[in-house]
This record gives sequence, C-alpha cells and structure tokens, in this order.
Amino acid sequence: MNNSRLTNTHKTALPPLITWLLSRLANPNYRVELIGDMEEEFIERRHAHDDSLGWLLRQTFLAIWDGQKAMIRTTNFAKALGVVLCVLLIPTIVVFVGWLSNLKDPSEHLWQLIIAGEIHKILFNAEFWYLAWHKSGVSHLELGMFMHIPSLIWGGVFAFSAHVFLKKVMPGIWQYSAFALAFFLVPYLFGFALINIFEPVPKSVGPILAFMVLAPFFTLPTYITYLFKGYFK
Amino acid sequence: MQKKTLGELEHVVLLALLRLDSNAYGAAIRQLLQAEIDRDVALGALYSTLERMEKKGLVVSKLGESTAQRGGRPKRFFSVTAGGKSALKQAKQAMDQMWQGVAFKLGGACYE
Repeated sequence: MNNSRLTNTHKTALPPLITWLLSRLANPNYRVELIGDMEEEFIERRHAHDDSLGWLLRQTFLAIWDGQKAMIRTTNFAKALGVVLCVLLIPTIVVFVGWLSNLKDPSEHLWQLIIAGEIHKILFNAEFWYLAWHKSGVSHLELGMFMHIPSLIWGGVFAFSAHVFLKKVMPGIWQYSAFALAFFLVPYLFGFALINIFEPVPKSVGPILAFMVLAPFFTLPTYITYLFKGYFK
Repeated sequence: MQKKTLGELEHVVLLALLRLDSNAYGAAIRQLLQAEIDRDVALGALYSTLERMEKKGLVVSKLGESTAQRGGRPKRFFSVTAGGKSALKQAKQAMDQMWQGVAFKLGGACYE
C-alpha cells in the first residue's frame, strides 16, 4: 500500500493549501488515494450544497492527525529523536563538567543553584553559558574530569540491563527508549533528592553532581548503539 | 488456522467491502457506512483501519487507473480475503451465540 511517488499533473478541485498539507503530512502509505477520495467527495458535497468546506477541513485535520500518529510510531522517528537527544545532551554535559571542574568565584545565585543540585536551572542561566564558553569550560577540558567510578559502573549496569532487556523481553523501540530514559533520570533524581534531603556540606555536593550528570553521560552511547543495532527497520 | 478477532470498525468495514464488491474504495466505503449505519468515519481513520486489516491478511488491495475526475489520482480497491471471510463468519457465530436467550424491550420495540 505504498505509492507516494505518484505525481499529480491534473487540475484539482481542492484548495491548494489543503492539497499541499495532505501531500506532506498525511500517511505516505496511502496519501495519494486518500486525497483523491477526499476530492471526489468534496466535489459531490459542493454540488449538493452541503457544508463542503467544513467537511473538508475536518477530514484534512483528521487525516493529518492520523498521518502524524503513524509517523511517530515509526522506528526512524524514534531513532531521530534518540540522535537529537544525544546531540543536545553530550555537548551540554561536557561543557557543564568542564565548567564545574574549573569553577572560580561564581555569583551567589549560581552558587546557590550548585549547592542545591539544581542543574536543570543552571543550564537555563545565561551566566553559566557565558562562563562555560569564555572563561572556564570548553578550553579547560581534560579526560580525567570524566573519570568517575560510580558513573562508569552505572553505565556498565545500563549496558548489561539493556542487553538482557532486549534479549529476553524483545521490547518495541519506544519501550526500549522509555527503559533507557529511566536510566538517564534515576541518577539525576536520586542526586537531587539526596542533596535536598540531607543538605550535605558544599564539598560533598561535587561528587553527587558528578554522578547526576556523568551517569546519564555514560549510558547515552550504549543507548544509541542498541537503538541502531537492535532496530534495523 | 489462528482465530482472528475483529474490532467493531473492522467488522462493519469488512461487511461494507462485501456489499460494494468490485467498487470498494475509500470514498464509497465511507459513504456506505454513513448511509447505512449513520457512522461518520474519517477517511484517514478508514485508510488506517484498512491498512491494519491488510497487514492482518483480512483484505487485499490493488490500485485502479488514474482518472481526471479525482485530480489524476487513482482509486485503491479493496477486497476481502478468505481469512477475512473466515473472521467474519466467526464473529457472526459468536454474536448469534451470545444473542441466544436474550430478549429486551426498548422504546416499545422488542429485541431478541
């Protein structure tokens, strides 16, 4: 049921915007026939003086909705989303680790965010990005900054769990992504909860922050590898 | 052969295909469902259902000729497979079985 390459050289009775939207956003497996059927019924309704435009708009919206739902279910969409996640997260974590390792005289506001473990707020702070980019971040990176044993162990635990999960359960791509997402979020939420419940001294906050960001960092490569290795189609 | 259960929309679509015979394509199926059971199915939902049924082996489809009437776009004609007919038969038998011994009145009419 796939003929998306069929071209249309005839005149159409449908408004050009509707045709344009449907030919791009409806399900590609049957969009040509669907537009043809819609045009046929639209012409009949127009001749019968029914509410043809209202009917057409409703049908267009539902066909696009259906097409987008089908697109979201595809393996390629999940893979693209996984790649976007990695492209956004890996450099952000690298910059954050570089900045945190070379931290010198941050503002009071930034310092309070650090000792409260609120990394999600730091990433939306303009001062952080300025300092990380210009003063103490990307230019002072060293491999040793990423050597954090608990995070490496967490990455290993994820690799093993993902292998077993894929082999035994054979999950769908979205189930696997949800499984991986749990492994990304648990260290962050665990660290955040630990800081906020026990309120450790600033010196002890550093290793917790490292675990919060480096544990997801070490799970990402495995996640992407299995995403492409385990789901070919 | 494994039993294939039918959803309610699948059930009525299969019956519509049998009634339309060689003229079963999207718009005709939609209009028949509207006229006969007052069911206003969106074309997108109908094609999505037909695609799912094709994957389940309940129907097959073939592309017709392009016509100028539809902006040069061809119709896709659907027909019921032996597996689809078998699923329909099982669904009917199940319904008939469940209706046995059932009788109720609604709006002055008696149903059994």
